[in-house]
Amino acid sequence: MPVYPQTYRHYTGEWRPRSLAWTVIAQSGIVRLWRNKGIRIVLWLTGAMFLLSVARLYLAANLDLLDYLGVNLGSDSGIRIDDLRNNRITAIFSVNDAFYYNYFQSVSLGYFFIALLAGTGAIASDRRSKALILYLSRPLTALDYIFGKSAFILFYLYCVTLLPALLLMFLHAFFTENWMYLLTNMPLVMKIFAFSNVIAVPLTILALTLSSLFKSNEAAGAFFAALYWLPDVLVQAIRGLLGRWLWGANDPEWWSLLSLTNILEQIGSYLFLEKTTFLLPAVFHFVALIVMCVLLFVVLYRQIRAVEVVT
Amino acid sequence: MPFRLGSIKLQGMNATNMTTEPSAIALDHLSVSFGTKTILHDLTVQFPSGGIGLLGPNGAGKSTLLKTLMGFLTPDHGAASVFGYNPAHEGAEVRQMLGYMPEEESYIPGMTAVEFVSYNGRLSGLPSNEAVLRAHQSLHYCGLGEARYRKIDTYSTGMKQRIKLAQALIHDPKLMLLDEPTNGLDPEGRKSMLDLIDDITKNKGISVILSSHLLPDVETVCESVMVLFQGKIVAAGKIDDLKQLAQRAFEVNIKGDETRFCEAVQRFGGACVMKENGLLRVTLREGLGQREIFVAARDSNVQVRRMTQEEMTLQEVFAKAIQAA
Repeated sequence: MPVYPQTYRHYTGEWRPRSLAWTVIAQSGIVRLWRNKGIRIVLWLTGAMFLLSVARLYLAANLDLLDYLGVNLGSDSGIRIDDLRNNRITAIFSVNDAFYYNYFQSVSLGYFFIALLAGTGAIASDRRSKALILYLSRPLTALDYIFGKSAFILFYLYCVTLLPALLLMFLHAFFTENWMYLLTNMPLVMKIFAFSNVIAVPLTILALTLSSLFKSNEAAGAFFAALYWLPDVLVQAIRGLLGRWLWGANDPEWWSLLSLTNILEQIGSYLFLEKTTFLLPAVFHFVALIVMCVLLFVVLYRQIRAVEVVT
Repeated sequence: MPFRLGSIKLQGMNATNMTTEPSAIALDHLSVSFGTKTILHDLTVQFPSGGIGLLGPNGAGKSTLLKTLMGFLTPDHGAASVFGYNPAHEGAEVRQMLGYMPEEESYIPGMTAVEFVSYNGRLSGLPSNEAVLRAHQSLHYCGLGEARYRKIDTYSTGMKQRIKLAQALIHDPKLMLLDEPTNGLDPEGRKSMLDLIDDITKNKGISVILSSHLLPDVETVCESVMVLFQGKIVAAGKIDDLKQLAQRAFEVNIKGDETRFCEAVQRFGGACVMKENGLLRVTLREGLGQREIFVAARDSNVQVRRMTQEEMTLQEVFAKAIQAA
């Protein structure tokens, strides 16, 4: 067998398209984040919430079967299949738009922690180890770099929002053996897709922007948590103390625009529920979300520069 | 954009024409500013492929020039060209041809050397398999073959310098920008690094721009040099030519009236200084040589007993250029 010397040689082969350069960052980010124990724990916990939803779907789909078989839930419980048929209890097992919104709410801590763990260290660690110049001295643009970093955060956020929600729809069709359910509920698919992005895109941009402003993952993480939770807490506190004096009886709830959690809640309830959480029309929340994303992106884009690194 | 391929103006030296070889880099009246402050002033020069030294004191504009060549800064006036590509408009194309070794410790924590180098190769557009293969080869070439599965975080300073070189080489660049590549290295490591760069330049056909404050490093590796001072080129050209042009200082031992001899030298546009050991140091303006000294001796009726041409190092050329500026 010939032995070739391991030495430098010129390259004459093919090159990958430059437009796909961001996928290298995304792919590497997905693999490296999977090694992060915190991310895996969050995924397992949100996976448990998903399994609970699956159990609800299964029960909802099999009430008739239980009834047919005459199975009761045990004499001690005092609950029989007939009881399950009354409106109050069957409401728990009904599969409608609200069911999917409940799923999103049940994993709200999950997507917060994923954005925290995956996003806030994404650029901060590159800045700390002065790796930004290594990226930008390649045939990459700042946008390629941002897309690459965003892609793997979005991937993990979709893993707890979009993918499980769509899988729940699929499982519902499977359990009920009603495959037309998927076709007849295309608006619901669109709602799930829209709300998943309403959650994932702002969280990704917020986490990346904060990450680009700090060299410490912890500092970026602390600011992320503060910006995510504190506005709501502060607004509620002010509202509790001064609300009646400030707004009187006709509180238009403009303050709900100041908090990302409130904005997500309002848009979610607008999409999935018949009644919105806040009095202010949801379109204001949607516009506020877009404005926030644009402003954050401008800050993020301005931070991704090689100039300050080359000394 | 075609460049006017004129001759290079050397501060206080003869112009050198380098239009016969294809230029690795060419600057055409390049001016670059940060805000209101102009950092590079009207630079016009071109260099053929090979080793190019970039010298200058702190704040001279070396880094700004490197940034401009990588397409990170847009010139106010004029243009730069790297193998015919304009970095301001074709940044990605230029960076595809460039390998950059930053001065600072730059790496991605948590990666092994192979992962790091192949990752950089993939970012440059190499297919995954080829990137891994070339990563192994580059690491072997840079002397990190045995340590290629170790995490970079555990590397010594010398090893980190080598891995920066390996990542810059991974995609087979045409031109490498090396920013202080021997920083933090012991004498043996420094020699080894310079040998590698020398091999890259002379045997692998890759051009190198070596930005360094260590003149001997530039003298060892580079054939050409550009000296920047306060954002202006004060000397540029082949090192041998520059040294030759600068060698117009002579130590002269005469028998006769030294004052008359010095007056005769001054008539030629030279200068004459008495040294402590009784020798005269005669410096002549460009274009003049030994012949004029003998003519001055004849005119002043003195006898030249001994005359030696002063050997100038690059350091002296550098200092002279800065002083002249």
